[in-house]
Amino acid sequence: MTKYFFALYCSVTLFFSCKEKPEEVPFSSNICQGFPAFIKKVVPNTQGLAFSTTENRKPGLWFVNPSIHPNNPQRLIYQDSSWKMAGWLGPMLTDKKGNIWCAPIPVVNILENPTEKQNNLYRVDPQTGKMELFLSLPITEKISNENPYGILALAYNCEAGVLYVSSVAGSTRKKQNGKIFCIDIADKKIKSTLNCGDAFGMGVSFKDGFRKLYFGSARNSNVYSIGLNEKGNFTGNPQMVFSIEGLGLRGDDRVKKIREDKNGNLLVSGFEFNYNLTAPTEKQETVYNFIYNPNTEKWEYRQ
Amino acid sequence: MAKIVALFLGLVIFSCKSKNSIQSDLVYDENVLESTLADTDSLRTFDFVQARVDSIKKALAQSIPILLLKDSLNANQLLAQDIAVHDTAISKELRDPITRQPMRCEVFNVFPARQSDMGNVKVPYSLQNVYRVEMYNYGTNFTWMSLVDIAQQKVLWRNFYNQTQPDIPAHLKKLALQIAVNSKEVQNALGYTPKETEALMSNTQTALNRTKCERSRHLCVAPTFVKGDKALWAIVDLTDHKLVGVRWTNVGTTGGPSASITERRLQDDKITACFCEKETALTKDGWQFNYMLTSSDGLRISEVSFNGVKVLNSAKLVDWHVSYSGTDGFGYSDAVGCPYFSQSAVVAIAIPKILSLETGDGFVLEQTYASQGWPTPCNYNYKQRYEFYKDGSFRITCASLGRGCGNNGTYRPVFRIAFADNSNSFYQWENNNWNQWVNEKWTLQSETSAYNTDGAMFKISNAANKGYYMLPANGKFNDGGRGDNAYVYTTLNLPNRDEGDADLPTIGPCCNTDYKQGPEKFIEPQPENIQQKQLVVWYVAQMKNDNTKGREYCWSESFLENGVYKTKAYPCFCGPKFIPIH
Repeated sequence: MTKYFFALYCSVTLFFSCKEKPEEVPFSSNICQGFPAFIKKVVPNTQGLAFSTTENRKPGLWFVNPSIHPNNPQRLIYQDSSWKMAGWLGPMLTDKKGNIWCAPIPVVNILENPTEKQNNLYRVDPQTGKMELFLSLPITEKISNENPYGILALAYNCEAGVLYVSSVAGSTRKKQNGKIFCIDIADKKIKSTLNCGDAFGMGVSFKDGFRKLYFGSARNSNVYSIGLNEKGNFTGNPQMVFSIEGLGLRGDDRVKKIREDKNGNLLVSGFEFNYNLTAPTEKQETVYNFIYNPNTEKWEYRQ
Repeated sequence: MAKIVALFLGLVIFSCKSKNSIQSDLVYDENVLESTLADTDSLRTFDFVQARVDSIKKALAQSIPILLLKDSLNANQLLAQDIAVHDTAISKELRDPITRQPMRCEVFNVFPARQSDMGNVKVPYSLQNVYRVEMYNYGTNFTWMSLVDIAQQKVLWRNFYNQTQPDIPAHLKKLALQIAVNSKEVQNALGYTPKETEALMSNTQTALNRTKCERSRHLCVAPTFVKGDKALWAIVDLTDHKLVGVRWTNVGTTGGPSASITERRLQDDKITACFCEKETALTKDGWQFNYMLTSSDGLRISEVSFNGVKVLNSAKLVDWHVSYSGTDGFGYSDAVGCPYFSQSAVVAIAIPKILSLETGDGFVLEQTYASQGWPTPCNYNYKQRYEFYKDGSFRITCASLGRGCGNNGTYRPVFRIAFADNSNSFYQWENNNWNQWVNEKWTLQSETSAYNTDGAMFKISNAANKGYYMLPANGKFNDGGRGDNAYVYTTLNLPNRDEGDADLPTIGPCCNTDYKQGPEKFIEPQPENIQQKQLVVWYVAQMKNDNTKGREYCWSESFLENGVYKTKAYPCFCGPKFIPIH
């Protein structure tokens, strides 16, 4: 009899005691986005404009006017010739120095996004505006054609200046091989790896007084947290903190992004994800707002 | 060393085990295999539904086509309901904006308002006079909520919630329970005919679980029957008054919550467990083969034989290339296949069906794939069919049911058909003769193509002239098809070289209009000899869609029927038929 057995192996590359508590942190915000200097040279007036990786029929990174309708070509302001090198892109963020970090995500098919390149991390230099391959993250398991995905999400730790990259490369229907990589940007190296199964959207928050990385599972609607030290390394073990199961129009959303607002609330973007290539137009995104309750020490959903 | 690492990790996991741990994600579900999807094509109805259908039709004929709440209401509630349904602001929401036909709308609840409802009300009111009236539009799947002041006899505030459903009233709960207990799928799963009062979740003390019908966008609820440490979810569609399917879940002896079972999850889990993870063997009408859904090559048949003679190693639908002529290079290259863990852009939404041919001389194996938003623009629906005839003929076919991104689309499905015989040769009918193809090559079926007296354009046969005539569709199969204008490729199949036998990623781009649809990769640059070899035939039909009234093709339209949107599909079937050489 066929059986589902979705095993999640959760361990940190280095051993940490389960009783170890994350270090307390004296500030509460992880908002430090810088602005890439090069863009002023090519687009003098950048007010109201933004970077995008999700433009209709236009792969790669774009600088766009988000107030113009997606089908209107005037929305597309600028694209450097190097910004198409990785095919269709998905996750993107800007760090405090203005580096733009991107990773590929296949759209509808893998013609522009070969599976073996889906674990590549790309950087756009804040001075030159050129995109380059920054790191090819290791894929320890054989790539199966049943999973066209690699990197799913990025998060940046303002305090430590490190990047977190979640990847499901090599995962199959029956086995999770997903990891979260902690990347030292300065040294261009993987600092540590969290073998936590398939993680999706991530976000750093200090709201409860501790450094924590929050991440959603790519296989269900749960959100977990893991402690971080001041250098951004993982500490302790992941704990489930809340779930978006039953919320929203679909009720079984996966967490695509976790952002922090100015008040330290978690804005959790959910959408449908089944490791297939159904068109993004079918996937509506819903943002769920979670507020930290210091009395109960829990995150609470706020409609 | 690896063992030591594994042991070390195991210790970490064990020592950290807690109910909050990520390890609690472990899922081990045997209930999926026993789930049942009700036949969605069934015209079966229940006698007790007729009275409701009559009341729906009666309401749709009214100037204000709203079904009023049937639950007992006091005079104030009746007044609030009356004021709400006469609100001019909602009148435009009751009918289709183009045809002005009424949509099915129904008042679900009339409650005394709570203070928490009043946040958006900016005019004076007295709370004891205010009622919250909730109405549901089945046509558009949205909820309308009004706050009505019966003293002032006016609506204080109103709002619309798209793709949202209010709590259902008592009479619909009863109807859902009636449908569930009278459905044979529920009775079979439980092993007896349950009473309506047996539908109860002990942990929630409610008879109906909340659920969703994401694909149909219908109003659905899930009467749930507990038996031992399991709960049987019966998903009932209250828009169409039918059962969607049933599935057991483990609730445990402590009655803890279990994950919600929805229409999509019920379908996807069943499809995955039963048809993506294992092959199914079928023996019928002299035919014997296995079939399974692939990650990205549709429904694959393999080890096909007729009356004990091997015919095909396999056949599958590799890609759908869809291009639009209005915009240069615009289109999609879609793979079809499994709903979870696949490279499919359009996924299977139902289990494979085995149907009898209308002519009674064989059977069909059919698979449906659809985008969730079909038939709205830029969403797709495809059918794949294998027809098997009692005389040993077979046809490999598929269809687009639209609707796509425009009326200027061309669909190009790519079939791969691998024949079993090790010494086949391939011939084309030209100048009243069968001319043998010496090397791998391709040709285009056109208006000037020649066919023999059996309607065959090609022949694939061994040295003893045993094999099949191949008839590309040219509008003569009585399936509405208008001819395939197909590219036909023949390639060599070598056992030690995989040229498409394993699951293929998308084989070609969307928008090539010439022979470069993907199979040419296995021919160029150096075509190999294909005389008396094991051969693969690739077949790429080309169908232009059409939305001209009365000539629709590869198209679909929505229309209102009894206040609910239905879909009229105009499929464009394509694909070759193979007739045994006698």
